[in-house]
Amino acid sequence: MITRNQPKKKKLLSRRQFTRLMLTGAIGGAVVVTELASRPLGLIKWFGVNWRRVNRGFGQASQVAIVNAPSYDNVNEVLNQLRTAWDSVDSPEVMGKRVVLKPNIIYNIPGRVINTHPSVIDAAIQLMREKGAKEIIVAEGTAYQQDITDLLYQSGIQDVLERNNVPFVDLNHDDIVKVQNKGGYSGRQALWLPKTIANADLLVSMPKLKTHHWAGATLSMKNLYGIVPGLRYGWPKNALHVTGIEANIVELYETIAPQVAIVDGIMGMEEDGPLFGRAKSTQVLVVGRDLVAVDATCCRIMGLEPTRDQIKHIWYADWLGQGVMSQDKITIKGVPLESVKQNYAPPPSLDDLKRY
Amino acid sequence: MGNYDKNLQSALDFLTLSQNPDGGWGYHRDGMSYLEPTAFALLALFNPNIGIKPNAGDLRYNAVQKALGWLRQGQHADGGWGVFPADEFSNWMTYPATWVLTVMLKIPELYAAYAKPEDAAVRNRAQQWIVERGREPAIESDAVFNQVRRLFNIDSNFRGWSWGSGEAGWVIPTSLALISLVISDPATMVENELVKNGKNYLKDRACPVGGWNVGNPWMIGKQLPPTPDATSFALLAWRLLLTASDFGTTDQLQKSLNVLSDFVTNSNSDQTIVLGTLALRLFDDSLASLDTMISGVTREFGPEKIKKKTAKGQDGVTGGWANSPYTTALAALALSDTRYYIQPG
Repeated sequence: MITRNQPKKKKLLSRRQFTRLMLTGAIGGAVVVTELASRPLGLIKWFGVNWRRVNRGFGQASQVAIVNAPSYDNVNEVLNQLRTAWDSVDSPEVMGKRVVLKPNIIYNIPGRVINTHPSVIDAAIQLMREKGAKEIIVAEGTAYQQDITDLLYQSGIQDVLERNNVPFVDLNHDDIVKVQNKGGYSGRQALWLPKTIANADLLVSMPKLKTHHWAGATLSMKNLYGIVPGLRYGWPKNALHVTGIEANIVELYETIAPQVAIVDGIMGMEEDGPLFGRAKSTQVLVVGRDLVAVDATCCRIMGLEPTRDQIKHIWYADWLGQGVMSQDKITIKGVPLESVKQNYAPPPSLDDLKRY
Repeated sequence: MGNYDKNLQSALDFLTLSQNPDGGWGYHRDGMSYLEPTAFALLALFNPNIGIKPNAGDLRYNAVQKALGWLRQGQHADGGWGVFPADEFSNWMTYPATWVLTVMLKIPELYAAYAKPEDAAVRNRAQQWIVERGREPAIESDAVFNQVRRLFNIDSNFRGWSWGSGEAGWVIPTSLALISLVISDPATMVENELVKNGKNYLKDRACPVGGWNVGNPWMIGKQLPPTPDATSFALLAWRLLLTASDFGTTDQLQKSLNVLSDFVTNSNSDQTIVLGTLALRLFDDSLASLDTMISGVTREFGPEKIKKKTAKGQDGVTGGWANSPYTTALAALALSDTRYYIQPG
């Protein structure tokens, strides 16, 4: 048998090259599939989030101040307590800044403690003035009606504004600007925000200590819903419900910085908040610049633990590395948490009805 | 009514002079242009009773032409409008835009002075958007449907109109959407199944004490009180759509008028007084005092009970209310001798 040395056919790819190509393709495909499957967060964002969380883990504990404030009757006393709280934590610089105070003003229902109390707003205005704010504005975009004027009068806030000669901006009808949605967790790429908020040097979220039948609790992060302009997103800000309450809360927090929280916990609301719950005397003011830590602390004051199942937005914000909710990562200044802890009746759970 | 002609004229002058350079109006003078205040300013300036001078030297005529240009330019390819041209998503602002275009198309003097050949098509596309995109989607899940009924005492078979496409229906956008649909041909449209369903939505969402709020008369077993804005807009829609018999033997209309009258009487807000007066006057001129709307309100204020003008009424110099083109436009409609803006043609 005659054999001939036939020239070997040149392979397009060696076995090794083929294996490498397949592996590269598989890894690339897996990345694409994972990116698509993990949206709206996305793989790249996920790496970013984890990097932030790791950094947080090595960082300093967040500071939250709790002070006793027995009543609203004496504004000077409220101011003294607020000043003590402000000065005891790493509060932001106020000198020369344009400060926007954002209280929670939503409805006037006789007998219900719904809105941030005017005495706390009064004290906050005076404190910001003491600290050298260049400009102070009180602003809110109320959720249940288009015109806020009568709510300001009925709540006593109009009197505070006029006595302190501080302007009020209705955020529902302010000029608006389009800003990039830094979080993107709701799937919304951009957000229309009031210019008053976009141009603020410092935003002070001033919620009332309340339970909330959709969100579990309404505190300094949930209070940010009020900055979303009604003229664009409607009343009662329903657009932020259908795309996920938790996602919208955390992305508002991420998009709108820097912030600090002053929580009116002198008289809170338990059970069916934010409108129909019972008044609960708690006699505290809570202050801090890590809103996740502030809200987690407020939940513990109410006797509620922020978990993935209840008060999910706090857990979500912690998971995203926006702040910390773990008690051992929060340094409490002022009075011990245990000394002011209450047992608030929780809100009803209505998870599957959030479009309303 | 002739006693208020000067007030009306100076309100319209305020509107003419407070128009933004781009042709629109803001909620506040010098505020950026939005569609809703622009539509209501146009409705006010359309007043056919004070005469139209279609020539380039007339300030009012020019203001209307410029505003209509702004309006036409802002329509999206899908037929709707956003809050202003830079807003790429169509939403509830489509309802007042459609309303104002229909009034222009139905009143011959306005049509002759201001309309362009394409305006009917512009309006028709907008109505199409309202029907197809503005209405709230049906609830698919029986479990959710039943739970909504149990907790909110509302019937989700009745579907209202939304602020944004694909969202739940609410009272104010539903009222505006119904007006904008029905006003073009009330006799036919009130028999339309979609409109009937919308009427039922408004009936279903009425508060037991009278009036309306955002759209939740009940909130987990508790009554959510009515608000002046939703009550006013729902009553505007009622004037076109509903009759007392729609509510059977209940006195819902009277209760709602009483609720709104109380709001107006006790309010410190120019906007609430103006909007409430506009709605009340559609039912009975004697129900609402134009004098209060014009002169404002003085009350004891603060812990020291100092007398103070809380609602300022019409400004004697500018002719406007609350330095707001929106509020002033509503006031001008309330001052009108006729209801051309809701019953044109």
